[in-house]
Amino acid sequence: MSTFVSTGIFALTDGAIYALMALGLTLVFGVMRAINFAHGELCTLGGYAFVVMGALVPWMPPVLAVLAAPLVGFCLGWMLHWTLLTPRATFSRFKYGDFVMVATFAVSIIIQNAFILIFGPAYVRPDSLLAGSFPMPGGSMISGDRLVSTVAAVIGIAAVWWFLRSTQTGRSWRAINQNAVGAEVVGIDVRRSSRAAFAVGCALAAFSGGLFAPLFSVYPTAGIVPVTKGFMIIILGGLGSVPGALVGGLLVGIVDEFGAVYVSTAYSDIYGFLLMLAILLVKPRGLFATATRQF
Amino acid sequence: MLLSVDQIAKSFGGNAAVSGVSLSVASGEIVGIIGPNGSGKTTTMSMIAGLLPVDRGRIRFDGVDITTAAPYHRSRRRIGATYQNARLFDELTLRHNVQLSAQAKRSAETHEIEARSQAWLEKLALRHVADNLAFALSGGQRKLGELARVLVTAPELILLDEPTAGVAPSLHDVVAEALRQEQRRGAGIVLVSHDLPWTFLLASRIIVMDAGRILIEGTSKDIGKDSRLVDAYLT
Repeated sequence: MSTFVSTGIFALTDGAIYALMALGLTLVFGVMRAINFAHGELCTLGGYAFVVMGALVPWMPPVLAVLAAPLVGFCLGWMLHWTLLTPRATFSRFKYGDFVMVATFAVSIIIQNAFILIFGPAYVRPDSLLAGSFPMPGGSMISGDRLVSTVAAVIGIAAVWWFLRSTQTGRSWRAINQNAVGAEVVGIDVRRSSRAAFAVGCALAAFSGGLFAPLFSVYPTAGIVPVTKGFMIIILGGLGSVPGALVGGLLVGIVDEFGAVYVSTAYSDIYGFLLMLAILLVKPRGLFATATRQF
Repeated sequence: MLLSVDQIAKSFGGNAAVSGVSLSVASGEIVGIIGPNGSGKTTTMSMIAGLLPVDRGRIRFDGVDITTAAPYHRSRRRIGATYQNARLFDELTLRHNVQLSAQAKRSAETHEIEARSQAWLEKLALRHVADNLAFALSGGQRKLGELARVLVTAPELILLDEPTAGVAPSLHDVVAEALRQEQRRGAGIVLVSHDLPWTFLLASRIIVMDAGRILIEGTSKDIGKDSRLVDAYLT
């Protein structure tokens, strides 16, 4: 019983952070109709930003230092869109989504190599977000890092949900998601909104990376596994769907953890893929895909 | 002149949809564009709204050349448009659809936008469905909702493509009264419609299009008597 409960807690905590990362991916896809292939590296960047902030300002509490992650992610995302991803007339020979895919893939390679040059290949770990362990229902324990990361991920998800539902900018993004041409004709600056959405998507990737850092350490390719799960989540949840990213994140967390504990840890990364395949067989467009995509 | 369109043209795959159309609209004027299917009315409207780039010709609004301006720029310059197929955001409520347009243009304070939205929703008999998601609305309600979304921004130029298509006949007078109110406010209105009696009643000037060109232009009274109007629809 205790194993079952503690596995469930691990599943929900991992699922919440995966959902936060997937939310960034789906937000970018929803507004730009393009996949950000550098999402994983932005996740890694968030981990390094946390480590560096902790080293530069040692007196700063780690729960504040981790906020450097979304900040750095947002700034880099904004700059990337401004310099590289802003649609231009010269793109007319390519579909914009294809261009973004190739361009961000190139960026991911550059960032990954920059990490190796700057930080080296070794694992680094930031300070603990919260030291110690805490009792949970069923007699299991949860580490302070896992507890704070989960709470922060849930707060991040709730903030994005509130933003999309209750603010004018959020509604504009939902409008673009549902009908980009319609959004343009009512006066929404789609290009500017795309830049902001891309920056926020990058910030969410970096934030999830910052939250993963105390749990799994940071190294130049640390973002690959989480972003693979992120893609899995948005595909099984429905591309461009925020509820899909949230439910998908939790489902992947659950099958990963329970599969690892009750089947085998050797295949811990394939349980999510099996779930994705099973869902796509029944719902080929994902769980929450609609004719007009839904934020 | 509020709107001056000079010799605009558009082809699709070598087929000319619009060939050298020129028209003008003054403030406080309602101009009706009529013609058989495929005569180029909607293409002309789409070029003025910025949804389709022109192949040649110029479009000036309030003295400014907007030929290459993006649709959102035109919208923010207070050109409002409705389309043959209402472009509502299906998973926002009708109220949010209506408010979003005014908010995007930052045309007023939030409470004022909410009050104005409510007023237009009531005027266009949409109050009872204001908080329904747009995908749940009927075709006629969607058309009226799109009209409300345009009127709430108090545009200087209003482009309407089939504004009464699918709308209950009992509400045609409501739409007409709303447009007359906008006309009195000083807005210029371009109206494309297949409902000829309704268009003749409302528009002070009528343009008849056929095969991508302007066939006749004149007052409602003159056009009604012109035999070329009947020919255009019958041939």
